[in-house]
Amino acid sequence: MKLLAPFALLIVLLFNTASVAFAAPDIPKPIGDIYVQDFAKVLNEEEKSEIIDMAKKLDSETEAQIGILTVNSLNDSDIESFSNEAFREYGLGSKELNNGILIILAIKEKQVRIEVGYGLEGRVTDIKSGKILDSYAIPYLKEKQYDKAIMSTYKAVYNEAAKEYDLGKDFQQQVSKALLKLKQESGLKAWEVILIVIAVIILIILDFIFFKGAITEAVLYMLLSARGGGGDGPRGGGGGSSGGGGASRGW
Amino acid sequence: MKNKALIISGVAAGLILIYGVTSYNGLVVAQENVSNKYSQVDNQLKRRADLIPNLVESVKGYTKHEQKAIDSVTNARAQLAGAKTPADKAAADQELSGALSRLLVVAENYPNLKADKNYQSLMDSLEGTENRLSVARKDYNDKVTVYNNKIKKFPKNIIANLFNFDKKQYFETTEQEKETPKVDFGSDN
Repeated sequence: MKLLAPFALLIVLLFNTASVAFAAPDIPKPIGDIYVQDFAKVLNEEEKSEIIDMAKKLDSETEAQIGILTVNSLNDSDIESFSNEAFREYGLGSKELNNGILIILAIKEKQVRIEVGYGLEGRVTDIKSGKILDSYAIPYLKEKQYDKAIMSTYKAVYNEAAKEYDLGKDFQQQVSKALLKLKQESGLKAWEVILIVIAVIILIILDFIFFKGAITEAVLYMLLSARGGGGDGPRGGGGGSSGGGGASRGW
Repeated sequence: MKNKALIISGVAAGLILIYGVTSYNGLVVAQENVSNKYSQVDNQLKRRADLIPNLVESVKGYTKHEQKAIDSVTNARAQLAGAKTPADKAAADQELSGALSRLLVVAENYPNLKADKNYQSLMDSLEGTENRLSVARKDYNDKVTVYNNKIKKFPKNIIANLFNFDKKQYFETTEQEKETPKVDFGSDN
């Protein structure tokens, strides 16, 4: 009989593992770099890589991670629970600092939200999140310019994070508030572009005449060497969590 | 022969003791998790209660004849401050949520109030806090589930009984509260 005691104990231990089921909304599994999860496919490749580059730079410097999630539908979940679940599943920000932010856009429900991790709640308060959405997202969203809404919201949030860590001008992104009536993209007029191209060609010709193209070569070299780098695998989340801070808007 | 029996029972007793100590510690950790999450719920409840006087002031500034809606909010707030147990707090919290949503519906009738910048900021804070509260509530309830399962299951229940690990209350809300009308400060006007 006494021999049986440890044996029985072992059996009990084996059967004692508690299993708790969580009813979680379906969060799509992240693909590639954690920063851009564009399941609604509203961003083009250029915009994606612009964001990923910005995000990596900030991540390397501060471990803060700012992510974007776009979905076609929330599947009957509300945007607050959905974004909180997604935030925790992706683990944005570092585990110790919880310094992540998630910008989430749901096309069908016409809702957008900025969810802020504990670590950045001091800088990006609920009020500030709401104001950023009002100024940088809603005007574009009403015009169905989803990508512009995301890009400018991302940059506005990014600038706040850069301020939090005193990263200086190097990290500041140029972004202006969207005007309610969107102005025509003025940009450069055709004749201005032609003038610039002619000027550059003249400069290159002069360079070749006087310096045998040394300056052109140097400029080309600089441009080419500035690219490259890379080669590392996709980056995942740092394990950060959020307690539900931030703000939501509909449009 | 006698020696052998002694050794076996000694080993068995040792194993049981080790198991007892580890499960006791496990229960302590689970209990600690519950109280940790509870304090977060509490924080958010306080945070919301702190926002209410401001809200009431700004509503008063723009409205007349809405004393009833305002009073029910202030009363519910006082009730919440007096609540002690999780169940009492949950009930008072629900009362407050109901009163608040009624006040916000009333506020809908005052365009000047709605356009007030302070009021809008206040709404963002309030909604943010409500959301944090629901996250904190869910986290708390999850930990309570884990803990309650632990103290009910054999053989941990023996140790739980021995050291008076009591069942923890959930912070429950009924469906009614979940359907609280969400006030949209319409970006569309």
